[in-house]
Amino acid sequence: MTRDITVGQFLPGHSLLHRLDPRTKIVLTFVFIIQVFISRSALSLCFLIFLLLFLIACSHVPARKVFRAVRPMIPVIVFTALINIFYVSGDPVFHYSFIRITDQGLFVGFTLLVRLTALIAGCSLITYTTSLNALAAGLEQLLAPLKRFHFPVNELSMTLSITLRFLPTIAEEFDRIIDAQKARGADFSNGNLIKKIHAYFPIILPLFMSSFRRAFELTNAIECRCYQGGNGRTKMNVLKLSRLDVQAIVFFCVAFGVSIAFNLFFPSFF
Amino acid sequence: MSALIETKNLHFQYLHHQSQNEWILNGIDLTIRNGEFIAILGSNGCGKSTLAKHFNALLTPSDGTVLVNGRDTNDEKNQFEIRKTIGMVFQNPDNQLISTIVEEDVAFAPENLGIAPSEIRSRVNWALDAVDMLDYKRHTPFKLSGGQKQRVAIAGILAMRPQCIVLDEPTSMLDPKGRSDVMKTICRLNRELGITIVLITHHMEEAARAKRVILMDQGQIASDDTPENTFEQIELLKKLKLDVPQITELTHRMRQHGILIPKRMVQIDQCVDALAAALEERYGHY
Amino acid sequence: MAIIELRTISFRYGAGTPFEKQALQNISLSVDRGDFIGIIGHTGSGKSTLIRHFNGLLRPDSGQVLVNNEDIWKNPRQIRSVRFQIGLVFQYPETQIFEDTVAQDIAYGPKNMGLDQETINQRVLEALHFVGLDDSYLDRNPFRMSGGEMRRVAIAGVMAMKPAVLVLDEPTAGLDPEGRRNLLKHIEQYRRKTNTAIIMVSHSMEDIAEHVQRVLVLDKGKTAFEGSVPSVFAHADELMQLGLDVPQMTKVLLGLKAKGYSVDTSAVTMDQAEHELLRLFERKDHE
Repeated sequence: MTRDITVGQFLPGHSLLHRLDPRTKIVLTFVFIIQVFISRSALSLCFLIFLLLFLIACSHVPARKVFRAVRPMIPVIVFTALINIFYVSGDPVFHYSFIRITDQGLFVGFTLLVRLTALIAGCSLITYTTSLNALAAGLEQLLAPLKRFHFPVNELSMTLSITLRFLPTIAEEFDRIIDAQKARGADFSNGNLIKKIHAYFPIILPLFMSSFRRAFELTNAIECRCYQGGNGRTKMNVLKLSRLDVQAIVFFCVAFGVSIAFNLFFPSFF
Repeated sequence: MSALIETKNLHFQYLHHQSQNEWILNGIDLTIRNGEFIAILGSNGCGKSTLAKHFNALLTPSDGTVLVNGRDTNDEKNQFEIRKTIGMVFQNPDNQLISTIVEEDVAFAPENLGIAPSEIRSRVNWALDAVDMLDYKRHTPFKLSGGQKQRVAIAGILAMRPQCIVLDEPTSMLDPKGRSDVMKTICRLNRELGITIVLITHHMEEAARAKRVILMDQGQIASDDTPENTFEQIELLKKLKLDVPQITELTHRMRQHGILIPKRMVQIDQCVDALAAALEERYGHY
Repeated sequence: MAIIELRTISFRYGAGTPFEKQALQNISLSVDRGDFIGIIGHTGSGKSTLIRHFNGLLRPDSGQVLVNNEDIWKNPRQIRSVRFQIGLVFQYPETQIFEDTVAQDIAYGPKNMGLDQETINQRVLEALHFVGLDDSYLDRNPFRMSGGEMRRVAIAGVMAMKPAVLVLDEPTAGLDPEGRRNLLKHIEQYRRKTNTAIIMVSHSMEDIAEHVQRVLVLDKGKTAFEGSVPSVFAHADELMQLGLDVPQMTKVLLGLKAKGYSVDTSAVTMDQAEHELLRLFERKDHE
């Protein structure tokens, strides 16, 4: 059944963001994350939102798709924001028995909401504009220096890529096995927790067996294609930084600088 | 023609079976020459997949030898070269594709061979073109049909530029269209590119398209002949629990009814022509 | 009276999302006790979506699924009971086996029905025999059996629920010729003995020709053809265009017809083709 797995739903395209080197995108995503963490003043938050919207515009990914990635995280975000609203000290604006809400609390809660949303939206943007293979390749090259310390970079990226490749296949199989056991009268909705766990056993075991079989067959197939680990491997797509990458890096450096400046020189809350 | 694969007195058993002394392969002597198109038939457990895995050193003999271009598969130093020469495609296309993009999957083997990027690119395009999947090179394999996936898997092997491709029941999970597309591809690779094909199958009609058919039974070769001669051995086929191709069976029955049509027929067109000729002979032109 | 009836059912996946896809459109089908029905169609034609409607794994967007003249979705909470009446065996069913012994695995369905142990034991044994395995298999570990045997155990697991209709999705896929003949033989015997209706999805036109009475051809979620086996295979050209095939015997007769012989091309099996060819040769004798 056609399933929509949001993690790693690459939307092919030719936007500015699509054309960037994956390494650039990975590094800049980290820069963006740091930027989210240091943006605490109102002005720098506004700038962050502006930056995010600008990036979304550059990606040609519909904004609603980007923010849909945030949806599953909403409970966590709201919870974190609430904790902060209640526990940050400052001038109380609302007081009822043990509940005490301060103006700073409200502000910190709100900024957290914005920052976490920006964080997740920003990270989802890279998965929308970068194929998982490109991500793996980018990561592999970025980590390449670690090879000197016998860190299995190549193997790691291959593992990642295979995992991503089999995710939808196994999800589909999962659905099929559930249907097959339902067809034999399996009941997953009734009973207490232990009963439910028990009911899932007929699904987990077949899924495990079949994944095991897949792994075995895949090993054979990989061996047949002369895989011998990372040594001596070449790549069809050699990553090359283009002018666009340089421009993007410069742009982010400037944006990062602006962020720091806003935080340093306009740290006031409102 | 020179021998591409040669097995001499090949015996095999899995280690943990040794105590029972039960051979999965029990003395196989076989020579496969460059450019041949061979089908291997046999009921489940006859050892045909095990034999196939010996052709590219996925398994090595317990006794006897397997030579590929004169190189012994037992020698680990030869294995890389052997796997480059003899490619292998399996039953389940899902379990042999490793990438989320078709062209990157096809590039996997040449990348492992350490070939220069531009050469990989041209090989990938060539291989995808040879299996008629070039239009799909940026697609994700997950969304392709079984037949398309299997052709991508073939392209992934083809990109190594092997001399021979061994296919282990490549069509058994496909629908009729997928099956016929894959069969057409296999035949074309043999005919136009001269690639040696070893096809393991349960479908007699597919085997009939080969030039040579090997019947296996209990780890041994029971028959090794042209498809026409092989399928004429109806008693043997039944003994080995195989099917008689429907065309062969039909012409056999016709002959039993005294209708004079030639023996050794496996293709539908041949059969139609022969029946028409027999009708004509009897009654003049229609 | 029809035991199961589909009345113009339609279904779409992911309604309201960009992935929305019309999977079935106005499918109708009526199955009586003891019927043997074939379903053919290429990958993605809607077969697997359709069979999930028979036992309420999917609910149609419009139209009705009637079992014993009652809409199965009248009371959605009771949907589980429908699954005991309409047995569904998926493709490669051996992959759903999970118990240590054959007996326990076959008993999974009957146990879910809430039957008592004695009835369960009896049904397990009966089902095992239906698929041609003897009592010695009861305590064996299914994971140490051959693929073909595992498949039979899995099918027995559904037969043990004593459904009125048994739906099989490509039951012979990947089996060797002997395994496939054997399995089809046992399914046929089971049908005759129990008068259970069989609905079989298959990619093998020869198997369809040999065993079923009526065929439903699906294409892009719609009924392309429906009717008796010869009437469906008479549409050879259209079937080929749909990515399907016709039995080899039909192809031979069609070939003769193309050469101008007046031959009845409705023969689909070996026996029928033999008969028709003899008629062609002998009729001429008397002319």
